[in-house]
Amino acid sequence: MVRLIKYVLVLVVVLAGFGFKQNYDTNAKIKAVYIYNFTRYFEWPDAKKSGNFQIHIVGTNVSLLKELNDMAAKKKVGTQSIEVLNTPAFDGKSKPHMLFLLPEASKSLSDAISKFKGKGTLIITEKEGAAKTGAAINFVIVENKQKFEFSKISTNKAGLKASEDFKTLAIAVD
Amino acid sequence: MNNALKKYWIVVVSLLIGLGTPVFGQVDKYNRAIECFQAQNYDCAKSAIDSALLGKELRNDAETWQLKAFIYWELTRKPEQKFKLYSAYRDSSIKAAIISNSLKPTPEAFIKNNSIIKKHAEAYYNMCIKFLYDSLNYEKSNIAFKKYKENYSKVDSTFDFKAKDIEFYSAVGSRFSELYNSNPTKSEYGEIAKVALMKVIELDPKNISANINLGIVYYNQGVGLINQMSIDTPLDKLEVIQDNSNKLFKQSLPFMNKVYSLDPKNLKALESLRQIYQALNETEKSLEFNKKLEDAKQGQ
Repeated sequence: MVRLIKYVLVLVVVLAGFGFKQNYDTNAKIKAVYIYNFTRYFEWPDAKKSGNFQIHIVGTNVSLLKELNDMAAKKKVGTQSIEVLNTPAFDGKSKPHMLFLLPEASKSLSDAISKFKGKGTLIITEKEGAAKTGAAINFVIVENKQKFEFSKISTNKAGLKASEDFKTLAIAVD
Repeated sequence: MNNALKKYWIVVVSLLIGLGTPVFGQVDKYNRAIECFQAQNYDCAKSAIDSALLGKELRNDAETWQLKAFIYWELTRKPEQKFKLYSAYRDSSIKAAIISNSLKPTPEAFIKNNSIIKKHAEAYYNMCIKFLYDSLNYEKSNIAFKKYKENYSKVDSTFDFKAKDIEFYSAVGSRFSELYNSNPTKSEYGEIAKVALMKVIELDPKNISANINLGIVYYNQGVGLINQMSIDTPLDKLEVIQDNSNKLFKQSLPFMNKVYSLDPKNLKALESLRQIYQALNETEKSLEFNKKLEDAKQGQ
């Protein structure tokens, strides 16, 4: 009586999609945010309030350099443009506002301290115990989080002033 | 015959004619419905079968209801009806097939009625796929899937839907995780993916694809929090963002570890574990999985 209609169910093969952000370095972004914040908590000597605001990275960290260069393109420190320098090793030729010795360059800490004593360079490291041996700021990992140690003594020796509330945000070593 | 008797007979004959007309009329309408159906004029067939079923005589006829089920099925195949989630035609067709089955049809008719209900169930399944892939409408897709199951179980109450559930929720999970991973600002996609993939894992805890996709969604949500934060985020807020992203990285871990335990050479799992531990600042573990990843790649 009734014509049966042939029906074919459409079969769809579903493939799992992988969109893994394999090369994104979260630590680099976090460090960049810290570094930009540091520009707001320190006061540099008058001699360093003109020209570009220089951030010198010693060692290799491609992701961090990218983040800092992105920051430099968008932000200023007061009226100063940000300039990011990078060298594989510490050569003492620059006179930056910030000097970040990456782990592989931390052996140059004592050279950097003597070179920049009283010259208004904020020395940042990422090496266990470095804040107690002359670095003003030292990145550390605490409970899976990136934090930083702060030495007021080293900051003063570098000819810089930190704002009063900065110490409360840091792990103070002195 | 006196006048009174004459009037009486006129009334009786009129009543008989009056009662008889609908019987013959309904059968005619039924035949008309068949003619229209065979001529593929389904609107005409609909009108005739609806009229045929208005009277009492064919209301208990399994064959008439079956014809209605087939006519209305054809109406749902019109382009404007085919993917209609709420279709009166579809509901009527299913209802007619069920009524037909309740009226003790022949075994052959019973099978045909069930085939109609199955076709509607399959139509709902196709709808759920279409809503998922064409319009990304999870809500509608989910409703269509439920309607598929509801109708299919009418003809096979013992059917085990587990495989279909896994298939559907895996499709939803992979589709929405793919969309979320390519655009992490679409957090609603990530949430849909998580719910769907969690259902797959409930049903099939060893499902590698679901575990990987769910792990990746959690990881990418953690990355997204950091990636999207502004460079001038205040330090106190940075602390909170790190806390939240770490929670997500840690939520990602059990799913990736599960895959790793099931398949230690799974490149996606090894790569993911390397990244998760790196994000959690557990460098040694990250390097350990990086080595395992390199070894697995060389072994391929």
